[in-house]
Amino acid sequence: MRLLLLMILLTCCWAQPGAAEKQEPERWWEKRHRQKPELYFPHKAHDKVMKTSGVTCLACHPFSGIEETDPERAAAVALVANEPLKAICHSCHVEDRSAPAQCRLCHPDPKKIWPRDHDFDYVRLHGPDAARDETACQVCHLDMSDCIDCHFRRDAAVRRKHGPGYRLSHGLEARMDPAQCGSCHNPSYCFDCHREIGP
Amino acid sequence: MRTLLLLMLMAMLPSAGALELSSRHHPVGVGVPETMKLSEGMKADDQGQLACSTCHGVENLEKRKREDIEEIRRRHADDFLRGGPWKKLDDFCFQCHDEQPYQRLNIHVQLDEQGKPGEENCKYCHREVPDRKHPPKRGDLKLRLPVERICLGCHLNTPHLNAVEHSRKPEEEMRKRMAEAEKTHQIILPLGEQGQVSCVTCHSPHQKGVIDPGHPAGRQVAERPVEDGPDYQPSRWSPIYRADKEARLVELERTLGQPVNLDYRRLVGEVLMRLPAADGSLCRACHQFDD
Repeated sequence: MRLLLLMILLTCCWAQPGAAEKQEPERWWEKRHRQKPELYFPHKAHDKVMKTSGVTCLACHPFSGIEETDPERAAAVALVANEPLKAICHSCHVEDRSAPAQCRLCHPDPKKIWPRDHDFDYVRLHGPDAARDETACQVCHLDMSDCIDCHFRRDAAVRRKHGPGYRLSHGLEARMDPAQCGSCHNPSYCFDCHREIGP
Repeated sequence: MRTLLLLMLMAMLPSAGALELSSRHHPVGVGVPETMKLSEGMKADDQGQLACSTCHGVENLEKRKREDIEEIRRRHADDFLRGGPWKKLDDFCFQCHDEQPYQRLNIHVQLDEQGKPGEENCKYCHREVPDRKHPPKRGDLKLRLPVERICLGCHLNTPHLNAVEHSRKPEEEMRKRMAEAEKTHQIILPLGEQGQVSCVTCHSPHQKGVIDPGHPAGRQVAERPVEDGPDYQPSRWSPIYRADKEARLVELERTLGQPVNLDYRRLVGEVLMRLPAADGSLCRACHQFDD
């Protein structure tokens, strides 16, 4: 037993320097601590479209003349000038959809851009917000696939709202709050089964 | 005697609230020369002299207190000078003054109308005029200042956006790419004495034709006359660009305490560039992204 513990300890000590060596260096966008580090602009993916559309590096990295003479202040202005924000990216990716409308392409971690009320159990709590202003949801959920997957999808392979075995256990929840079922299912959905097999 | 001295002293002091103009302000109360024609909308006073309202378009400005004038200037920042907003203050002045005598010599105009080089302009940068037929090697250029400082006598070190950001020593990998680009495009991308990027890395200081265009130092983009400089045109991206930056600019203006203007204009004509910047070729000579 002692020998086994010693071997495990040695293995751990031996493995650590190797693990450190394998650590990936920071990518260019992760180094931009002052400039939206959560935002990733895939330059290479834009290379072709930039060549064909005539939108080039200068669209986001302007070199136009400035009157500022203090280098630090000039750098502060350039920092803002260089930072592509929402409107530029969204004009193609969201508004005219000439580019793929997939948030994750540029925002790898959606938690960093979603509203703070999404942080806790929002899948369950989103109903009233969505009923009040569906367009607000569509600002980010562009193709509404997230809505459709839960509210309308009926194939058995993917179940996002109810876990496996829910057919057996749903009765209790349905009796506690029948209106909750009704938010997605129309009455005929229940009657289709219960007409045959009873309550 | 004391009373007399006191009275003289009081006469020398400006009255409370009276407006004093800084030494940089255009004089008022001076006659308009006959040779000068005031721009439309500008009027001299009854004696034919310049008054505050000649340029500012605010009646009785000279009778107002400085604090009031500052407030008026803040409220009417765009047209505090008649006909504004003025992007360049010079443009306002040259409505009345002849622009020509105030123009700075452009030493990059190095060929005369017949295309022959004048040696006068060479000497601003070179101690001796180089032999054009046998362009000297870099070490024999006899520059008056190190290459990374040679432009700063006339140009600022912040001439355009992202200039400061580029004035650094590129990493080994980038230097390799630059060497490859030099071979591919048959150009030079010269670095400073400490290996840093400087103005001449991207800009050619010589007018096209001064150096043999077949020579890497002579190869350049010259879509415009040197006298005219680069040409920018309005872009459909301009409103999108402004919307993009608005919130950040408000924040920046608060920090800097002065207005910041950023607008996107399309670069449509280039000159004195070693490679075209408008299509990104110049950028790609150094930068490459794998992701």
